[in-house]
Amino acid sequence: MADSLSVEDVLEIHELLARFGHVFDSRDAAGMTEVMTADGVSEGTIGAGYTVPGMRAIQEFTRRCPPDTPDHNTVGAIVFVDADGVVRARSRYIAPLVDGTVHAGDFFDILVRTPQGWRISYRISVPRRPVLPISPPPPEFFDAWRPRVGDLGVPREATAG
Amino acid sequence: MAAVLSPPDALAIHEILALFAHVFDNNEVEDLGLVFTADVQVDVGAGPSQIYQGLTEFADFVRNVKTAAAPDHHTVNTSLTPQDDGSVHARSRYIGINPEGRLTSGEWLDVLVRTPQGWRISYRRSLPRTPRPAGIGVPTPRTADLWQATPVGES
Repeated sequence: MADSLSVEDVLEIHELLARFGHVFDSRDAAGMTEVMTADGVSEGTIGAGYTVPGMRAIQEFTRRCPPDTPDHNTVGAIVFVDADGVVRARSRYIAPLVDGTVHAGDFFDILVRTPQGWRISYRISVPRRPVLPISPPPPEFFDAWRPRVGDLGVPREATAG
Repeated sequence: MAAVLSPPDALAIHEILALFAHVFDNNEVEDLGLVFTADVQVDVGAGPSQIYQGLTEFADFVRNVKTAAAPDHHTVNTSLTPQDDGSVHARSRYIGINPEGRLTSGEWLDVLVRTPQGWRISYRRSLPRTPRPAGIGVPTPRTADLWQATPVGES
């Protein structure tokens, strides 16, 4: 639970989202502990969709990623606390393919603060461009990632110390 | 003395610029007010631009023109210049990705103002840059001069 995010929290979460791309795209299975929680869940919606539950499965998924898997470059990140105190991030990935074409889509994340710093506890990845066959949850599932008035664009306090 | 933008304000402005694409690309017309002022003016195009005056008019454009064939927008390379009147000039690039996975790109020249609800875009000029015919360069209107870090004519 988090009532509000400081400037430092938001910057640390931006850093985390960027680090995810470097760690995963480098097939750094050990490094996944630095970006996701031990009980983290990663879901994809491409094709029939898939769910990767827990760090052991996430590390295996990272190790087994095919060599031509596109890189993940994160842009457009917004981070806010929802009405239930859950910290959510919504961002986009731009993924260059080996042939120089590009794929892009949305990341919807839930973040938690651990003793080691912020980590992703849930991520669902939804391809948008080009238009591919996907199996996403119903549209209302994503409503929780729509910020309300006052969630964004308001200068956040820096925390002392 | 030049105006100075605090880090919390800069972060808040970056959030609004990021939020734009999520709202606009998903046709979430009811959330446009989280990004723009009610009296926003949006100028689209480098030549004789298409001008949308006010959030209602711009929302109609989003509702009617945005289709599945439109590109998604990704905002990058934002540079912020605070103005003496308290507003902030933001100059960004957009990368557009269309349904075939091909790119477009261009520039957004924004004015952001502080409102009781937070920072909002009160003016946006959208200037396409690519694709364009080879050999002609990028057509840039004079209004873009206002977004130069160094005013034109000074060094």
